[in-house]
This record gives sequence, structure tokens and C-alpha cells, in this order.
Amino acid sequence: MKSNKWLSYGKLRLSYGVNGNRDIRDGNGTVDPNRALAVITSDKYPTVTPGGTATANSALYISRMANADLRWERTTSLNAGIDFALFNSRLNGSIDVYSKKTTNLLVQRTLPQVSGFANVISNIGQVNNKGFEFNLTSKNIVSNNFNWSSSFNFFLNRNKIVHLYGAADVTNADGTVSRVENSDKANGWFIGKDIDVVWDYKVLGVWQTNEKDEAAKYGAVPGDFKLQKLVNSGPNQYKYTDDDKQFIGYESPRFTWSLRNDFNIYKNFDFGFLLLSNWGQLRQYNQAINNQGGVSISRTSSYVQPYWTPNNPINDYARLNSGSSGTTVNVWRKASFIRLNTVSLGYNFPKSWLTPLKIQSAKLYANVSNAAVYAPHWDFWDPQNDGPTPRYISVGVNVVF
Amino acid sequence: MKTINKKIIATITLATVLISGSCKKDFLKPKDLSDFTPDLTLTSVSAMQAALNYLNKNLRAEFFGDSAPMLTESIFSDVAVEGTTDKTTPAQDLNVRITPTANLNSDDYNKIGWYWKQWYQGVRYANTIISRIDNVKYTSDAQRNDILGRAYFHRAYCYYRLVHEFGDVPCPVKEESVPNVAYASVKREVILQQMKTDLEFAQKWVTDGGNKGDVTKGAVSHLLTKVDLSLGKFDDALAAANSVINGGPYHLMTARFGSTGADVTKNVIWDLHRPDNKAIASNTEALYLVIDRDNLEGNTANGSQLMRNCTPFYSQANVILTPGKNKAGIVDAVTAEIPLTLYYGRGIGRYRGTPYSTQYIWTDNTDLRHAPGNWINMTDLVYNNPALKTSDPDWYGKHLEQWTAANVATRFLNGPRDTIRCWFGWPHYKVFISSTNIATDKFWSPPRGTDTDWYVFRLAETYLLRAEAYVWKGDLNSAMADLNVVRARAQAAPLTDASKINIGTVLDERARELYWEEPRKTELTRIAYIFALTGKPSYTGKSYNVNNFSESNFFYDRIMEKTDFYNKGVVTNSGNTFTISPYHVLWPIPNSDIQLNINGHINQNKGYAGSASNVPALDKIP
Repeated sequence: MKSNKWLSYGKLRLSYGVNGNRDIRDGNGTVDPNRALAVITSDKYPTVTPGGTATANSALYISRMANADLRWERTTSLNAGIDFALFNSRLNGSIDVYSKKTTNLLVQRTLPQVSGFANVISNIGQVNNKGFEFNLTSKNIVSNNFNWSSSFNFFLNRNKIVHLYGAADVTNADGTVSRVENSDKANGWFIGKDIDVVWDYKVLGVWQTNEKDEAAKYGAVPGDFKLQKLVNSGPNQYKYTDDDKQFIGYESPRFTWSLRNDFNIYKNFDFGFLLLSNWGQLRQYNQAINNQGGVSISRTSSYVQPYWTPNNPINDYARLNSGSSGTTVNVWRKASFIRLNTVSLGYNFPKSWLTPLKIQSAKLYANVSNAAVYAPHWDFWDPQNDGPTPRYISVGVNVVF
Repeated sequence: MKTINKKIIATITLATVLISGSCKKDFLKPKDLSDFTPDLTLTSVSAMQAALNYLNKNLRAEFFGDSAPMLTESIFSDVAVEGTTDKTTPAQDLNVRITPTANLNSDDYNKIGWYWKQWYQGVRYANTIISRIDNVKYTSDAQRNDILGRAYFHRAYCYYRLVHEFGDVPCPVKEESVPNVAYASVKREVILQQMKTDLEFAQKWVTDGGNKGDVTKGAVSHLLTKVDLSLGKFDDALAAANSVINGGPYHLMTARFGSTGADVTKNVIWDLHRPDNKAIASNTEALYLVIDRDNLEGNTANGSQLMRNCTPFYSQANVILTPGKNKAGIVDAVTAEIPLTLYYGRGIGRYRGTPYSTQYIWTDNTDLRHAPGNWINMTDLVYNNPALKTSDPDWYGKHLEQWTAANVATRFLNGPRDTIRCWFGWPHYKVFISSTNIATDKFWSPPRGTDTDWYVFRLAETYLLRAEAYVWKGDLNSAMADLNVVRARAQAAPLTDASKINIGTVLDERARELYWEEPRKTELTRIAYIFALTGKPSYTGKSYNVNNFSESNFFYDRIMEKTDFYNKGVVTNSGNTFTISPYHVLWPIPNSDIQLNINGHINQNKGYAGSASNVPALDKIP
């Protein structure tokens, strides 16, 4: 076989497999093999005997619903990939595509409160996942005094709920019965949609002073968020119902990528940085309603954030104590970000200096983690966790004798 | 001999292994060895009793805690409004606030959704006992039926409340073993009829004289009276009430008793409502009460907080000003020379009694329920701010002076709006959680009210229910006699003109007697239903019918007649206007349950978004 000049290594992969999963966890994240069984919780309730003695008696209730229909989750996956090394292994990489079909997905499903239970561990019929992953590592410059290598990773996944709980007899308004499979709006699961889809009212902006009369029809006042109305006639013309909700995005990133660069200069200097990015996901930003529910705004210190007033007629934050319209409003903002996750700089002292001192190696280094975040639509805490993420700067010397 | 024994044992063991050795399907069944599971645990009389105990606890929760659910029941009525005026969230502008998609279960909003959840939990706990009743070996049928009857009581209690809070609702009557999302609304009358049947069974078997804190026969008959009234079966209601009043061990407390009985400065009304007098054997008035002690496990966390919920926010910093130099008049410090919060608790005025319940119904000077010491008016308090000794010494230690329209602007930090939360009278004898004159609180300082026993059903209400039944039947003399029994005990002047007795008279007496005991919204809605079902005209001459119940009903007309809040467009410090509409006679069904019920249809009540797609409610329980 004639040797190939540009292809140093190549491999095609194709795999198919079926996995089972019975990994149901309790509230603390511990695997609980008994989650399908009902369980009794023991509490206390006092009573008083006719003689006047008060005692705390045992009080029992079933705290977890049994689900006799619970099954293993099964995932069949088909994966195709290619591994390659090019140009004398200067460029290494892999490309993977996969298609997974998960049946009986294990989930915690919210139940109607009429059942007396909040939720039950349950199976969702079928969820399909398709995805693509790309990895590339390259040695961009290889020389005596300057080396530069990069690695890049890109990932995207799309999923779709195919079935939920199966078809059931449903009585129609005219009394006839048909077998249909309905979406489960309150759990946020819709047949044919992504499992992380966001179905909610669309916030158009803030009611402004000159819209006072129109806002009043919806029970709102200027400074409250204005929601898009999809039904504009009939008894609910001025009332927000499920019919006014729409699919407005996804809670999971549409794609993620990372890029790492490492430099070595004059042999002794190391420099590197890592960029991470999640792109296209939505996150709740209800702080924009400027109403924490309690008395916190009026009595405690608060983070400085914008709020609407007649003289500050902005569209992305509501007035103070907004949200009195009787409609539960959620504000969703894009939480896409690119993070400069780590930056590191190091200097290795030359061997010639160290040998007389009987030192094997010595390195002076400085690292920064969470160095910077670029999040064009997110102006509060960290876009990834909605809380503060500290920036660590460490400087040190590493000496090995 | 030993060898033979060993051989026998070995043979038996082998045989056992061989017999049971084939892998049965049962082998694959998961067994939970580290938890209590219902099939193994709920098989003894004591376990059933423990399950009933939890039902008592489930029911108890309504009365206690900050922003207790009972507050929501009270503000959808003529006796109170939500007095928390420093926030926009509370249920004041009901027309805007109360929707199926609003926050319906929060201390800061309202507890409508809490009730929905709590009663259906109670239904489930009761159904668990009812469905498993025959998994237990009893010593007698009487023992079995007593337990079953108590479970029936609890289920009926939950449904009685559900149908008067929410109207036609789903009605599960069995324990469910797989997720159900195909519920359907059942007609209110159908549910009530089933509860009547169940309570009639319970009435035969449940006994009186057990432990205080447990359901009694008297409580069963009392609830049956209410259910009979709801169904318009007034003769049955009379019979049920009679069995409590005449047939049981119950009597109104008319003489001094208990831990405070010897205190000559007090009276029987004070004794009756002291925390440590409610569950003692000599108290013959309690039909059913819930027990809650801060020194016993199973208590309500952080106390009843009754004084916090119900007492005006007189100690709000810098709000009540002296008449002299308009200085801050009151402090909440327990270390103050005059520690008002130790005498009355530190209230924050969530329950704001209306002028109707705090003034208009108190026309009688002898009524102990409104007597000095039992009932506190704002002018009974004194200006206690130590700083006044120098800033406005004429007023330090002096009684608060009643404000007038002319001076209200200078007597409060924010003028008249502060009178909503900080200036109203209240029944101290009910909400003061102590048997001495100093409030005790294990959890809070200044005190809010620690854990306490509470009456659920009391014989005085049975008399008022029987009076109501007589009014519906037109027997006004008998109605007046029953009202007078309750009035006489409180030393109020008896009513003398039977021709003036009507449902309004009964409601007035209930408001005087049953503060924070009756769920006022439930009872008003029940009465509104009776007006609509019977077509009898109310005391205003207006009559109602079931077809337009959500547009025209007695509930709304009564509130608009009485409150001086919802009917006067009162505005709070936070800019909320008090409003209410006829359709609030039934609360909205939480929208999430309608959504989650994907294979059935739970109807929304008329007036709320979503009711347009209603289907006819079921005529029988599925």
C-alpha cells in the first residue's frame, strides 16, 4: 500500500448498543432502588387523655406514591465516528454523529394535587436525541523557541419527545370518547418538542404611561410587564390563559464549544487559556419584575438594578413592586455566554541555575480562573448558575528537590 | 437422638428448598426492607389509629402559622380584609389578584391553593384508611366501624370545605395506586349527598369520651348538621344538631372553670379560650379540638402566631403619633417600661377586622365577648415610647386618643391609610396565647403566640347551626331561643322580637362567637347556596337562583353590604384598592391542576379564565 502523504492515521467507527438505566435518585442524589414502592412516614400528633395527660402519639401517612407500572429506562444508540490524524499528526481530531432513542425515560412527574401527591417517579414514553460532536487538536507552530497548540471541541444535541404516557380515552366536549395522546403542559412536556422547551407568555416590554387605559383592561398598570396576547376576542379577551402561551425557546444550550490554546516560548515560558461557551439557552430572570414577594425591597438593602418609573420609561425592567396583575409572569432572558475560563502563565527556571542548588525543578506560575465572561443578554449574576461565581487568582512557586 | 434430629431438620430444609426453589414471579418483586411500606404497616389497629392521628394534624394546620390559611377564609367575607398594607402582593384587589394562574399559595399572596392541596391530601389520607379498612383484624365490628367512621368524618370535612370553597370538584373516594390524570368535576350536591351517607354511618359507630384531640360522635353529628343544611335538608339538620345538644355529654360552659377559674378579674369567656383550659375534662363544650403543645413533638413549627396575625400593628415603628407634638408613640420592645407587646403580643395586623365585625355588631354593653379586658380597643393601649418622656411628656403612659377625620392626618405617619393596619379593636380573649396576663412565646420575642390547642367544633356553634335551620324553616321563635342560649352565656341581652330574626341575625351572632373558629368564607358560600337552591328571599327582599350563582349571590351582596372596604374602594399604602366580585363566591381552581389532568377535564369556576371550556359536571361519583 502506498503511503499517504497527508493522512497519518484514520479510523472509521460504527457502534450500536442498548443500555438500561434504573438509576433513580432521591432528593439527596443517592440512588434509591425502592422508589417504585410506596413509603410511610412517621410523624407525631398529641392528644390528651380524659385524665389530662398530653402525649405525642405516632401519626402515619403515605408520603410517596407507589408506581406499579415503573420500568427500566432503555436507550438504543447508533453512533458513527471518524478519528483522524493529518499532516504528520499535526492535526488530530474526531467527528461523531449519534442518534439515540430512549424509551421509558425515568423522570419525576408532577401530579395533579387532587391525587394528594405532589409527584411520582414515572416513565416518559419515548425521547429521541440526535447529536454531533467535533474535536480537533492542532500543533499550530512547532519550533525551537516557540510552540503553539490548540484544541477545539464543538457539541450540539437536539431532542424530541415522541411519546409521553401513551394514548388514553378522553371524553370530548360533545360526550364522545376518543383515544388521544396529550401533551403535558404543566410538566412542560410536549409531544414533538424538545424536552427543555420553554412554553410561556412572551414579554413584549413594559406598559408605558400613555398606555394606562389599555393596561387597566388587563389588570395591569404602567410599569408592569406587557405580555403578548394571542387570543384577542371572546370571554378571555383581556385575561391571560394557556392559549396565550407560546414556545419561546429552550432552557438547554443549542450548542456548546470550547477552545484551548497553549504556548511555550523560549522553552521556559508557558502560557495558556481556555474559552468555554454555551449558546442559545434561556434562563428565568424574574428579578426584572422587581418584586420579591415579601417586604425585602422596602426594608432591606438590595442589589442595584434598574426599575421603571414614568421618568425612566425602560422596557426591560418593571416598576418596583410590579406583578399585581394576577397573572404569574416569568421573564426569560438569553443566557448565552463565552467564558474565559482559565488563563495560566508559568516560568520554568533553567536547569543550569538549579543543579548547583540541588533542585530538580522550579516553576513560578500565575493562574486566573473565571477570568472574564461575555454574556450579551444577561446583566445579573453569572449566566451559568444565576449566582456569584468567584474569580480565583493564584500565584505560586513550585519547587521539587 | 441428636443425629436423628439433625437429619430430620436437614430433610425438612431440603424439602423446603425444593418446594420453594422454583423461581416464582414473586421473587422479582422489590421488597423495601429499610422503610415502612403501607402493605406491611397499615395492618394493625394501632397503625390505623396513627393514620387517623395524621388526619387530625392535617386539619390542624389551617389555624396556625404566619399568614395562617384561616386568614384567607376570613378575608373573603364580611368580617375581615387583608391588612398587610406594606406590600402589593396580598389579596386586597381581588378582582385583579385572584386568578387561576396567580400565586395561590404563599404567605405574601393568599392560601387558596393551600386549601386545594391540603384538603385533597386529607382526602387521600382518609381514602388510604377506608380502602384498607379490612386489612386489619379487629376485636369487634364496633372497633372496625369506629375507625372507618372517623376516616369518613375526615373525608367529609375535607369535601365539605372543598365544595364551599371551590364548588363542583373532582371526588376521589378510593386509594389510587397508579398516577391518575383523568379526573372529572362532580356536582357539589352529589358529593355532599355521599358525605351525608358516610356521616350517618359514622354517627352510629364513632364514640364520645375518648382522648381530646380525636374525632368524637358529637363532631360527626355537628358536621352532619352542616352537610344537611348545605343540601337544604333542614329537618335532617335539626335532628343531627339535636343529637349533639340533647343526646351527648356536651354542655355550654356557663360557670368559671380551669386554670383561670379563680381569678375574680376574669370571666367564663376568658376561661373558655385559655390555651390550657380547652382540652381539660371539665370543659364540656368542645366537640372536637386540635392539640398543639410547644413542649410535645408534632407541634406547629414556630408557634400559632395568632397574635401576630390578628392583633393590629400598633407597634409599627413611628406610625402612631401622639396627639400633643405628634411624636412616635409606641415601641415594640419587651424591655420597655410599659411592655405592650408582652401584654398583647406583637401584632402585624394581617387580619383586619372590618367595622362590621369590630364595631357594628357590638350593640350590647353587657356582652362579655366585647367586655373590657376580653376585647381590646385601641384606646385601651397607652403611648409607651420611652423617648416621649422628654419629647412629649404629657402623653407618655396616657391612653391612646381616638382620632377623628379632622386630625387623622397628623395622628399617623401616612394619615388615614395607616388606620387600616394599625388601628382596630380585637378579641383579646381569643388570640392571646397565655393563661396569665403576660404573653408567652417559646419561639419569638417580642411574642407572636406560641403553640396552642384550638377548637374546631364547639357546642355554641351547634346551637347557632340549629338556629339557622329554624330560620330556614321559618320557626323564628325556636331560632331566637337558640341564639339566646349562646347570648345568655356571654351575658348579652336576650333577643326579644322573633319577627326580626333572619339569616343576618345568625351571621351576626356567628361573627361575635366564632372569631378564627368558623371558616367564614365557607359558611357564607354555604348560605349563599341555600338561598340559591331554595329561592327564599334574603332579609333585603332579594332572591337568588343557581343558574346565575356566579353573577348574583348572597355572599357578594352581604360583603358589599357590610365591609366598608370592598364596597368603598379603600386604597392601601402600597396602592392596592380593595375590590371583590360576585364570582368570588367560589375560588379559582388552580390552573396547574387543570393542566396536569391531561386525560380528563376539571371545570374552572365561572368568572375565571378557562371556564369557557367547561363540560357538565358528573351526576355520580366515578
